[in-house]
Amino acid sequence: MAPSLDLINLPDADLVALAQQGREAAYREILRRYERPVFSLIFRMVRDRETAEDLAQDSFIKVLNHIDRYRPEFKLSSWLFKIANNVAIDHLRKRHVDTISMDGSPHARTVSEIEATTIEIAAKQETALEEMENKELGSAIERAIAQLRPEYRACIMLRHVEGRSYEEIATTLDLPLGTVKTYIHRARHQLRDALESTRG
Amino acid sequence: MEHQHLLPDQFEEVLDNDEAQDVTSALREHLDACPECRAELATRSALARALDQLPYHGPAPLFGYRVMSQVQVFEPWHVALRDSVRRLVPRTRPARWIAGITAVTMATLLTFVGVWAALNTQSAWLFAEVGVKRVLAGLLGSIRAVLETAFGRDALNAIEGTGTMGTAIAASIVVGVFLVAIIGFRVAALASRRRRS
Repeated sequence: MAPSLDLINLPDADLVALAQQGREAAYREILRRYERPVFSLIFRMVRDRETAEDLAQDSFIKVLNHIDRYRPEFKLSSWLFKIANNVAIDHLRKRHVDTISMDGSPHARTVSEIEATTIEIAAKQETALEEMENKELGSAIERAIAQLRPEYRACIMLRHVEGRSYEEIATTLDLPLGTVKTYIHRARHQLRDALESTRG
Repeated sequence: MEHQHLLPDQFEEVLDNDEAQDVTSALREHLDACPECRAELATRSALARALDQLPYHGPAPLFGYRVMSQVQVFEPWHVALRDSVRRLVPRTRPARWIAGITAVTMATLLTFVGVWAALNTQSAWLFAEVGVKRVLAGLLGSIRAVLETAFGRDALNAIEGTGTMGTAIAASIVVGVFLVAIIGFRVAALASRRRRS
């Protein structure tokens, strides 16, 4: 899967234009460029490697099979992350884990609604498998991220791992700018609390 | 602000605007004067830095191949045509010269033939008629061969015995069956593609 040197240096917009002309090498380069960021985002959302691979695969298939629908006024990466996030959120909703029991109603649309429907639990009970997954994730901060609401996780990943601005995150996740700011601020606050309780 | 510590949202504001140096002077002044808030900001900054340094996780090595095996690379017709034409163009300069000269010669020849045909319509018409007759004869021969292969010699004789109309109906049925088969394959392929996407 070694891409040609020309494609490596091409900006995303040109790469998509080549893919739209049916160049398979451009498809492969898009995949090579974004497989790790997209997989990381989904992995941190669903916390299971096998599921994350399946969902990342679904995301790429959706994007690459509909590359002709790409609108150049948006960033390719934003489009990819949007689809990856939607796929991950859909999966979490279907699985019905976390979202109702701890993180509030899945129908909650505003921060206040989320908080009103959230059930406070002092310490999350983890199965042996989850504990193993946590060890695999490797660090306290990863474990703390795993305890966040999925929406918070997506925002934090896009902000810190991908270095996106609040505006870009709002566009990518189809959320109001104020909501994105609130999610990120609260996520950082919860992370800090989680890390402090780990240390304590 | 001097005696009141920064609120959580104000810390976030400082963190978010740190790089842009766009933080309000009142917050900055308070931070300069308040060791507690400075310590709190340092803790929050450390968390933000730790988050910035989170590594990527990678999928399995064959992930890319698995994805590509389910992606249908679609080449638009105009690109396929352009590529086909490009493939016909020789790569070396001498070969390109030879191909160019040949193309110009052929174009000139065809132009002369066209002009001659326009000026000598009767002769051109005669040649065209002969040409059309030969093409029709060839076409009918092919249809006969197909019918003979499909139904056998005896059936062909029986069909020919029914006259021109019978032969035409039989030929239409064969062509119709071929068309239905092609459309059927295409519908099945499209349905399969939709299911996969």
